[in-house]
Amino acid sequence: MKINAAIVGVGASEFGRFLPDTQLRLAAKALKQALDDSGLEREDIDGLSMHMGWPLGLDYDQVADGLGLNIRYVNQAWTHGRFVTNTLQHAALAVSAGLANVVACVTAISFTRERDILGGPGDMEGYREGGGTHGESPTYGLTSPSGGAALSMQRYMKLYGGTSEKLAAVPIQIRQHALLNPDSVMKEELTLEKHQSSRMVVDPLHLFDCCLMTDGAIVTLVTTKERARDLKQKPVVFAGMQGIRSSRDEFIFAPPGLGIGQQPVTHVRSRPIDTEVFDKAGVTQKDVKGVYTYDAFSPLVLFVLERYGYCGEGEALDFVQNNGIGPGGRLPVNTNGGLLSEAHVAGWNHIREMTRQIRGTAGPRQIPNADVLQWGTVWGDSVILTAA
Amino acid sequence: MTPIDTTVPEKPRPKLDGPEKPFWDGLREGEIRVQRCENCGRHRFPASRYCPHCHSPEFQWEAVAGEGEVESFCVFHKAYFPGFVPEMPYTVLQVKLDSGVRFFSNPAEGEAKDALAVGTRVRAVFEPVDNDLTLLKFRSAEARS
Repeated sequence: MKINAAIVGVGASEFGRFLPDTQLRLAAKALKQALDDSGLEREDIDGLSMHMGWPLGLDYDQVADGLGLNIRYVNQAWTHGRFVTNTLQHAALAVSAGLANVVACVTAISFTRERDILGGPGDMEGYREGGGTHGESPTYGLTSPSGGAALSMQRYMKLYGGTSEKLAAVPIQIRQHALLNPDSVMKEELTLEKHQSSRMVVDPLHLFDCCLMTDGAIVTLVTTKERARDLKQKPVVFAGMQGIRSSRDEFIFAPPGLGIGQQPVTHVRSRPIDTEVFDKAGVTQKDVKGVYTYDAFSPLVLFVLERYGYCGEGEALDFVQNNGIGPGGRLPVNTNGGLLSEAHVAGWNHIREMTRQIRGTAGPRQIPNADVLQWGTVWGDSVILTAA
Repeated sequence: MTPIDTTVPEKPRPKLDGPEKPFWDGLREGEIRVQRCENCGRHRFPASRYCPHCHSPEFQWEAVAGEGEVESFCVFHKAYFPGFVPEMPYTVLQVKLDSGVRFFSNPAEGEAKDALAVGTRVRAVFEPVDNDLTLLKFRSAEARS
């Protein structure tokens, strides 16, 4: 089966901290905007791919009911960075296979009401027997997602050199993108001095190496390329996909080979299994005009640049210096401002930005001729989106 | 009837009577006991039914030596459980023992905050918490016991 899918509409609620709206109300706003954007009617939606659900949100049946949808295909993950790509891919697979005509990918997040669930006694995932989903080991105080990223960065710096000052290039440049985006929660320039004087969360990660915790919803509408051609917007086509990788080579916030958790120690570099997505899309790294990634912590951007072969082993810290990834940079990353500075809408704000970029409607953030963009995470899952 | 305890634990406690019972029993007796695969001979931890290397279900629990090396560490400046507040900032280590098994752990009590770095040789310290629980911590191999 060939993938035959395109993004035809995106809509968002407002993003912010302690928003008064419920998850369902946020999702309803996003859905309405996505329908207006696409020219589709509510009745056209017959599939749901959910990036939410217990324990972090409403389940599919409550969302279908609450949004007045009549659904014949459902995929449900839960609100977790690892399942963004999977949620998007299931939408593309479902329309390609004819299981649904139009799939709505829905995420609605109220992190600021539920912040206790990310580290600590209320963190059912992190506190569970056998360790948490971010490599948590609560007995020894390794009790939050940031711990795994910090362990990875510490070892990476030992192996390849590097400092917190050099790492700061990542959040500083992503903030520069955010300042060009009116939806961004963060409105002030991030200087090296501000980064270095911000409090440590888990050393070597400063506050500004850690993403925002915000509320907001995004709905992304996916249908076939044929159907997309008849709709309001320029289609954004699924050109290639690869799924999440899972084995002992993987630790949630480390590149394969680094040796965190149970990972064997090898070389941290791009392998053929990491770059299948380019072959599937018929492009190479050189064709990609911008990279979008789940920037929960700034080291993840480095790991992604190496994993997908944009630079070699241990080279990413140098690659990002001197506007490597900022506005007008050699390879812009997360031009919306990312999880680090726009908002934490679990990466769907990045998918929304990719859609705008490929349509050519990203305003002051527009990458010239943004015809090929990559979404790729530290977990090895990726989607390449292109202009038709 | 005993009321159900719903208070937040000072520090999270591991499950002592689960698949890793031999490990926790061993720590109380001053030994690091892990699984050794009877097919390929490799040691492993955490506990698993099958060897992650050769998938054999045959294994024995056996003691391994307490010497190893710090592979990475991080320092928490935020406490998610009240029991860690007095120790802040506190260090979490990843240690690889010479037998190949890895543990997340902490520096042993009294260890200087900056004594352990990536690559530091360390040795095991058995720190009793109470009658039921002893934790595996590490001290720089050069330090006197």
